[in-house]
Amino acid sequence: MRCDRAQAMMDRYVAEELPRVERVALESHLRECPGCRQQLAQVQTLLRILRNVPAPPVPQGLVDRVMAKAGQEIGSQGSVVQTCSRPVAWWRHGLTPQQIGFAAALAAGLLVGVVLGRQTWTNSLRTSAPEPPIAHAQVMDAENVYLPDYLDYFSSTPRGSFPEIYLSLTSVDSNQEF
Amino acid sequence: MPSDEELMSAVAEGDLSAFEQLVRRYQRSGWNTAFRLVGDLHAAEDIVQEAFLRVLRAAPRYRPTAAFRTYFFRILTRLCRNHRRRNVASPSGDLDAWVSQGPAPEDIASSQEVHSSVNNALASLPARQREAVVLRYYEGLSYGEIGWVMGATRKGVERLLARGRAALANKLGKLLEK
Repeated sequence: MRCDRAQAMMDRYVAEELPRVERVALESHLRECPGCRQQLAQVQTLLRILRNVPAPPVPQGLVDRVMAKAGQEIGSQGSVVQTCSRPVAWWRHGLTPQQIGFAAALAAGLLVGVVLGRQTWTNSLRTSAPEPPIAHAQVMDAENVYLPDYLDYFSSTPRGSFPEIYLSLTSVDSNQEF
Repeated sequence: MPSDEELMSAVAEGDLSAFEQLVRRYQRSGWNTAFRLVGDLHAAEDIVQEAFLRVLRAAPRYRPTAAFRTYFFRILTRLCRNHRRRNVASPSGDLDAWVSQGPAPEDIASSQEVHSSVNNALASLPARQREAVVLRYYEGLSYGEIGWVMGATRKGVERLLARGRAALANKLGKLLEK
């Protein structure tokens, strides 16, 4: 057993609270360790000194004062049971006008927030709507070949490529009248 | 004689005489503990009164999962802790004052000197060490009970007590050598 462990157990050893196994182990350590024996003597002296120091006497009339206050509390509340019962849930004893006002303001704020948010969201959808893709029909017209989107990579002018843009521009130009 | 827990059940049903029995049973240990933890006569009385009133208010919610004694000390030590937080300087003035009241013969004078030294040493301990020391060496609570009262593990209590004893031994060195 290490000395720090032995010293931590001394308090319970003095109070005779140690289980038998720990007591035997401690006593075995104490037989071999003069430092811990000295420490044990010090703990015993310290505890004796501490316990010999009394507290001042209980103030006279303490019980009467406590009972008077208890009586006042119960008198103002009706009974101990009422005084001590768990706080009643707010939805059971109703709401005060302030609470109702607060709840109404909160609900109105939420409603306004939802309406404004919805409008903003709709507007942003309109303004940020993607440009219609470069006329796929025009590409198809130029080549006279129909390709599904997923096969567009195999065409000579895949969508979004420079050739496709070039073709779309030239096809527009060709339709313009000078 | 009814147990503390039986008295608490009666208090929960509005029996003030049961409450008075509890107050009478615990006034001394409550007072001693509060005084040793806050070191102020008036504050200690206020704290003890408040602790009993809280017991009264909480009686319907009390479940005997822990002994009433530890339940009471838990309330009391929390009130003492709150008091110390509000009054940062933990006074030891009353601890000294009450031992030096009145004329005393020389042999008593020397014991008063010892009392004063012990009280000063106790007052100088950090709050949690002081709580552990007072609950253990003056009120005789077990490590488990102190842990429940203070919200600490048994190991934590063991460490607090070991440090507390070391600090006290350091401050009371001369007394321990006698």
